[in-house]
Amino acid sequence: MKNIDNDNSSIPNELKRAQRVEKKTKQVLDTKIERRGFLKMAAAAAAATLPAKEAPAFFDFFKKHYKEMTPAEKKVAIAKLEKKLEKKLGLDINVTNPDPIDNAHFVYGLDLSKCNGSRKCVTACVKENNQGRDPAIQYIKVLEMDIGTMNLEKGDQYYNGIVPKKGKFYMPIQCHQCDNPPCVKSCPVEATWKEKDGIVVIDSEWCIGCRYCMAACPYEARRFNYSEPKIPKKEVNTTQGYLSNRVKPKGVVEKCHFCLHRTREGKLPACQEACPTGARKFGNLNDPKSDVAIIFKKKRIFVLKEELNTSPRFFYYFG
Amino acid sequence: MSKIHMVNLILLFMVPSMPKGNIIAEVKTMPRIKKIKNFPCSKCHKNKKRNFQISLPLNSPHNEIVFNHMPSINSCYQCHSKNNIKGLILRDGRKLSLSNSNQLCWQCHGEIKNDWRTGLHGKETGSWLTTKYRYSCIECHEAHSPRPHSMKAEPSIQRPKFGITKQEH
Repeated sequence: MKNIDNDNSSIPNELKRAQRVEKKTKQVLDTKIERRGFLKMAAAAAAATLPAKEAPAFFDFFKKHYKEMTPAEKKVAIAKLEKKLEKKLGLDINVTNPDPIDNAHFVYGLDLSKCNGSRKCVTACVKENNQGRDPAIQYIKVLEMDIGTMNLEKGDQYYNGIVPKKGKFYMPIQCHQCDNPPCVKSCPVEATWKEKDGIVVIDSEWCIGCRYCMAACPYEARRFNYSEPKIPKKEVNTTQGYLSNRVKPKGVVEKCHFCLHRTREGKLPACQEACPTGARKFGNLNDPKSDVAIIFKKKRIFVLKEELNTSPRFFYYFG
Repeated sequence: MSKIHMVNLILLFMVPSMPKGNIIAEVKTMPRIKKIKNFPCSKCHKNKKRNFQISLPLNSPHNEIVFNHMPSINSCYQCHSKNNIKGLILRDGRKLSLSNSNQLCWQCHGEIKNDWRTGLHGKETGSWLTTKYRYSCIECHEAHSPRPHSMKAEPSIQRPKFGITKQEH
């Protein structure tokens, strides 16, 4: 009996849908048909016929690119993402999207003579940026190398135990936020781009997971989510940036973004706050009194793989 | 001018925007006294005129102190004030509170002083935009044995496996 009842109730709905489709098609026939306009109308007609449950996925599919969104549309997209993440994680989540600061020129300095390879920055980064724990995704890779050499291929990133070890030095590598980024050029769908303040970001809604950027990056700074990231519920960071530390879906690329949800609000990146030796220096190069500006003047600095002309914003020095 | 432009103009003046010139951060030294374990000393040392033990190792709770600094220093009173145990003393006899202990270090370490003041040496937290808090020397260098200590590294990621082992086959 129940089944028959259900069937009866669904008939008027279908009728309504059919009527809606008719209306839309009449509208289409009445107006001048251009190719673009026709496609839009067809999309609208399809939307009318879709059941309500599948509608959000449909709107996700026809969403605009982040750069083309107006501020109002961004707000809508953020609200939608918030709902989606709350449903997925079962937590109260606050999605933020701070705008780039106009006068800032972010750079990052790392003192190789002070770094002791304790990987405190790595764990702080993993916690802050909601990276998957199994399989582990870490934006920062710390290489252990013999003193006197600079062969990155012979660097060991799987060391353990008491650090610093005798005769070794440690070199953390993360995204260099290049001014001439090869990863951005290689992206076929423009899901990654360079922001005004110099940070290279990824829109993980737009990423198709082709991993061209990973192949293009000379610093191996990008990571791929081979599976749905597993994060213990207690350790999820609930303030998540739209372009930065939101919990990623399966099959997208992610990387270091100088903690843009923190730095654009004036805070320092999580890795610098966690560093026990003070080897990491983040700052604004436009401010002549900032420590990075003084390091630029006084110390001998170098960047990795200078010959590739990527002009990174991450530099190393010996303090 | 359209209405939207007007609204935008009004919003521009109402919302406190970022400063237009260079953004310059202020720097403060991290307050230190609250972090000292047994402060104030008068918690235990009620009698001010008591003779304090000079030779190491000290009794509990100061038994952690291991002296491994400059070998020519042989007395606690070269840095600690004899009459006032919660104070420090400079080489020229000036008194110093525990929160200003940086000046004591700078008597010998002049080069580091310049580096620390410009922000090249030492850890900083806070904000690059408004106020930064710079850690004083003894947050990282334990005053009595200041050499940076070794620590245990956080666990690394797993080394990727290539191929199949015999047991799995």
